[in-house]
Amino acid sequence: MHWPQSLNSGFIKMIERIFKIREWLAGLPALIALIFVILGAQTIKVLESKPAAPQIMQLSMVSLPEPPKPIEPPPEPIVPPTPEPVEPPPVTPAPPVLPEPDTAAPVVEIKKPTPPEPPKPVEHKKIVEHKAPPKPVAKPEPKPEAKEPPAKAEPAPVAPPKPPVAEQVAPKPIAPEPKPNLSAAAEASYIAKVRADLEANKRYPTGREASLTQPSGTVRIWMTLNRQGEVVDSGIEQTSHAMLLDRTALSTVRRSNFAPFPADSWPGAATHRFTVDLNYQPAQ
Amino acid sequence: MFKPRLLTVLIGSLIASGVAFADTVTTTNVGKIDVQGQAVGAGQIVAEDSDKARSQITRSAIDNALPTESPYQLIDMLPGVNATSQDATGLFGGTLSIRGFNSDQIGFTIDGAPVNDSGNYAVYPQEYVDSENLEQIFVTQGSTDTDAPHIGATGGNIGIVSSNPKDYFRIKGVQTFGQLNMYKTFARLDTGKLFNDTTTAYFSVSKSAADKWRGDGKADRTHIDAKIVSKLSPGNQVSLGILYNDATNNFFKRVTKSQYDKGDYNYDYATTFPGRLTPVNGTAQDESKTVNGVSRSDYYALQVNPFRNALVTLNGSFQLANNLRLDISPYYWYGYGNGSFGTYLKEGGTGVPVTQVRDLNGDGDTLDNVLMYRSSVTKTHRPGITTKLNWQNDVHKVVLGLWYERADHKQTQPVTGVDASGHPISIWGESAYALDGNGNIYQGRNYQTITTVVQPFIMDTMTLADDRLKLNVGIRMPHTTRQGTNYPSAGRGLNNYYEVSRTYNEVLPSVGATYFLTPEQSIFGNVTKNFRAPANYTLFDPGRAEDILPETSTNIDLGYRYDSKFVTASATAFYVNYKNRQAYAIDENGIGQNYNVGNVHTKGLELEAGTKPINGFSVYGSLTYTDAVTASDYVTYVSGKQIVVPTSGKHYVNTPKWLAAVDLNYQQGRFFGNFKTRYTGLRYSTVLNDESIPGYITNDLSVGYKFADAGYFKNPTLRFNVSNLFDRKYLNSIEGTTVTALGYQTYKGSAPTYMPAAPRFASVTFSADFQ
Repeated sequence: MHWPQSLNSGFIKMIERIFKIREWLAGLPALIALIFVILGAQTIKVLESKPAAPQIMQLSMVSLPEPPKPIEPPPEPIVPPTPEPVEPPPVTPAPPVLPEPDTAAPVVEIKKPTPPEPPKPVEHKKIVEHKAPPKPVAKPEPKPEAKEPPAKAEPAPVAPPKPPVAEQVAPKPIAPEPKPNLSAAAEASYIAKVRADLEANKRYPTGREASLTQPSGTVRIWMTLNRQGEVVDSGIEQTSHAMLLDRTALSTVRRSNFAPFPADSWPGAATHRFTVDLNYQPAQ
Repeated sequence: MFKPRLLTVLIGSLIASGVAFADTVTTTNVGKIDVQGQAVGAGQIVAEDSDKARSQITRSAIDNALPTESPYQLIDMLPGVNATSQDATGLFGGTLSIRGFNSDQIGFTIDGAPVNDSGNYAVYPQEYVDSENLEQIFVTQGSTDTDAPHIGATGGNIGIVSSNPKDYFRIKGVQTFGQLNMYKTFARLDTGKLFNDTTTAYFSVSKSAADKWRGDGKADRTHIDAKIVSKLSPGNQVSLGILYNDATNNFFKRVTKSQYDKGDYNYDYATTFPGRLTPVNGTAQDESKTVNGVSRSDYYALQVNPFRNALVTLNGSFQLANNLRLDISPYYWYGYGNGSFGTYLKEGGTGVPVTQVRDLNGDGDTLDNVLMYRSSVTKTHRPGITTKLNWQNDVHKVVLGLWYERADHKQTQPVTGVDASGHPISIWGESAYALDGNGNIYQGRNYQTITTVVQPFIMDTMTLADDRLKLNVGIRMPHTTRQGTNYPSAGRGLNNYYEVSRTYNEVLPSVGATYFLTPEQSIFGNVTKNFRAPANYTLFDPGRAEDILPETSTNIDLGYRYDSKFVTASATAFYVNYKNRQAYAIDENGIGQNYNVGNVHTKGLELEAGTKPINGFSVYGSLTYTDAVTASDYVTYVSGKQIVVPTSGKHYVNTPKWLAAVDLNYQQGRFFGNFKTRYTGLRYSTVLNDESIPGYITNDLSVGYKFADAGYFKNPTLRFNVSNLFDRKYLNSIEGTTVTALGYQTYKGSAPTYMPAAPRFASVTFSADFQ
C-alpha cells in the first residue's frame, strides 16, 4: 500500500499491523460468542434443576415414560399396522400403556403429534414414503410401519413440507426406535426397583425434634442416577415446609443403594434424573 | 485441500456446542411413597438415629395399658428403666431410676416444658397427661439433650408428648371398672377442621378413683386436657396445650425390712381411730400416748396428698425463609398442694415466739401435746420460654436457642386441726391453724425461692459422607440463680429472716455421631456433660446457704442399631462418671446438711429389639446390665470424731445389676392380646450394701376384642387387663436409702424404707368413638 509520505509513520505502522491480523479480528466476535456459550452451558444444568422438566412431572407410576408405543397411540382405528406384531416382539407390552397421553417421553418431538392423528389413515402412506428416504432400511415400508413409522409419523404429519429435511436431521434421536419398547419395559421395571429400594429404606424421622414437632408433609426429591445406580446428585425439588422432613427424605435417597440400570433402559444416556414424592405422616 | 477458514471454524464450533447441549434431561417421576411412623414390637421401639442412647414408646404400647397408668409404668419395659408403682392403677405414684440415677436427677418435659419440681426436682407422674391423649414417651438414658430445659438432669431426660387433635369430628368415650372400687371415666371431643380447615382442637375430661390395696383410703383424680393446633400457612403453625389436674390421695405407708419380715403384707396406716382426748384446763393432755398399740397420728385419714396443677404450653413455629425457622415456645406451670402427715404439736415452748405454740385444743392452757395435721405446702408459679432459630443447608443444621425461666416457689409448713373422728379439718391445710407466740400462723418452714435460669445453647448437626455420617456438636451454658428468702419459722436454724442467693454456671458440651454402615445398620456414640444445680433446700439448711458444688456427670454412649423389614434392634454400651454426689452428712461441728460425698462410676449395656408384626404377632425384648460403683468412702462425724464409712467399691443404691423385659403382642382382626414379663434384679438399699431386696418377676396381661362398627359408633372395643397376673408378693420399691442399716462403729445405722408390690388387679375397659 502506498501511503502519502506526509502521514505519521507510527500511525501507518499500526494500521498496517491491524491489516495483517484482519482475519483474526474478524473472527473475534465469534470467538467471544463461543466463550459465552461455553460458559453459559456450564450453568444450564442448574437451570434444569429448577422445576425444569415439567412436562413429565405429573404422571404417576404409570411407567413407560417413553411413548415408544407411538405405534399404537395413533387413533386405534388405524388398524393398518397389522404387520406390526410381526416386527418386534416387544410391541405387545406397549398396548397396555395406551391410556397414557404419553406426550411425556420424547421431550422434543411430541409437541404436536396429537392434531395430526386424524389424518393418519391418509398420511399413513405419505408417512411411509417419508420414512423411506431417511431410513435406508425402510424399503419394506408397509412392514416397518409397524413400529418405526408411527414414531416418526407423529412429527412427520406435523410439518409435511419441510419436515423431510428436518426429519433427516432429527431422525437421529428417533433412530433407536426399534428399541423403545424394550427400553420402556426395562425402564418400568427399573422404576419399580427404585421404588422398592426407597420403600425399604424409608423411615419417619425420630429424635427429640421429631417427637416434639411431629411433622407431616410431602417433599419431592430429585436424584440423578448413573448407569451403575449410584446417586450422582440429588436435591429438593419441592419442599414440605418442614426442614426435618426435607433432610430425612434427602438422606433416605442418598443412603439408598439403587440397582444398576438395565441394559435397555434410557439408551445412550449416562445418567437419568428421577423425582420421588415422599409423604411423611406421624403414627396415627 | 480444505483449508478451514478461521471464521468457519469458529461458527462451526458455535453450532457444535449448541448441538452438544441439546441433549436435554428428561425426568422420571417414580411416584409417591408414604412414610408413616410405625409401631414395632408392640409399640415399644422405633428405629432411632440419634447419637445418644434413646428409646421410645408409641401409642400402640399405651393402648395395651390400663388407662390410669402413669408415665413410669408406661416406660417400664424400656432398657435401663427401673420403674415401680405403688399400686396397679398408677394413681398414687411410684419410683424411677435409670443407670443408677433417681427420678429427681432425670429431666422431665411435657411437650417441651419442664415439669420437675423447681426446688428439689421431684417428679409426680400421676399429675400429668391422661394416657388417652398421650402420643409417645421418649427416654434419653444418660445424655441430657442440649436443647432440653433442665437444670437438674444428670441422668438424661424423658419427654412426654401429647397427641395432636384429629382432623375429623369425633367424640371418644372410655369407661373402666376394676377391683378396689376403681373406675375411670374419660370423654374427649375432637372438633375436626375449623376456620377454613386451618385449625383442629380437642377437649377432654376424665375422673378416676381407686381404693388403696392395703389399709384404708383412696385416690381421686379429675383431669382436663385441651389442645388447639392452627396451621397458619405451610410451615407456619401455632399450637396451644392446656393441662389441669386435681388429685387427692391417701399415702401408702412405707415399710422397713423388719416390719415386712413380720409377715403382714397389708401393713399400712391405722384404719381405726382411738378417739381424741377431752381438753381439760390445767392438766396436760398428751395425745401422743398410744391406745391399745395404736398411735393417733398414724390414722390413715391424716396422711393425705392433695394437689392441683396446671400447665399451659404454647408452641409457635414460623418459617422465616426457606431453610430458616423460628420456634417460640412459652409455657406456664402452676402447682399448689401439699403432702401431709399426722403429728403431735406441743403447746407452749420456751424459745423465740416464732417457735412457741398457742393453745391448740381450746382448753385455755399450753400444757398439752395435741394431735395435729402437718402439711408441707408448696406453691409454684413457673413461667418460661424457649426460643430457637433453626437453619439448615445441605451439610449443616444449626439451632441457636435460648431458654429462660423464672420459677417462684413458696414453701410453708402450717399445722392445722383435726376433728373428733380423726379427720383433718382442712386437707389443704387452709384453716384451723396452730398459732405461734406472735399470733401468726405457726410454720415449720416458710421460705420462698426464686430460681432464674438463662440457658443459651447452640447445636450443629452436620450431614456428611453421602448422608451416611451425622455429626452432632452442641453446647449449652445454663446460668442459674437461686434467690432464697427465709421468713422466720419454727424450723431449726430458720427462726430469723434472711436472704441468700447462689449462682451456678456451667458449660455443658455434647459431641456425638451416627454413622450408617448400610441403610439398615448404624453405629453411634456420644459424650455429654450433664449437671444438676443443688436443690433449693441447700439454701435453708441450718448451716445456711452452703457452698455446695453442683453434681455433674459425664455420660458416654457407644452403640449399634439395626433396622430391617423384620426387626428393629439397638445395643448401647455406656459409661457414666457421676461426680459430686450430694447426700446428707454431719460435719465436725455437728452440723448436718448436704455435702458432696463423692463419685459414682457406672458402666453397662442396654439392649432392646422388637419385631414387626408377622401374622399379627410381634415381640419386644430388652436386657440391661448395669454396674454402678460408689467411688468414695463416706466421711462423717459422730460427737466430733471422724468416722470413715468404707463405702468405696460398693454397689450403688437402687441400681439392679440385671433388668429384663419381654412383651408378646398379638393383634389381628378383632382380637388383640398382650403379655408382659419383667425381671428386676437384686438391689441394695444402703450405700454400705448391708441391706438389699431380692430380684423379682412380674407379669401383666391384657386381652381384648374390637366389635364391628354400629352406625355412628365406631371402634367399640372391650379390653380386660390384669396386673401382677400370678399375684406375686415382694418388695418392689426402695423409698428411702441410707448409708448403713446396721451401723458402722459409732455411726448409727438407720433402716431403709420400701413399698410392697400391689397384688393381682383386674379391670375391664370399654371404649367407643362417635363420629
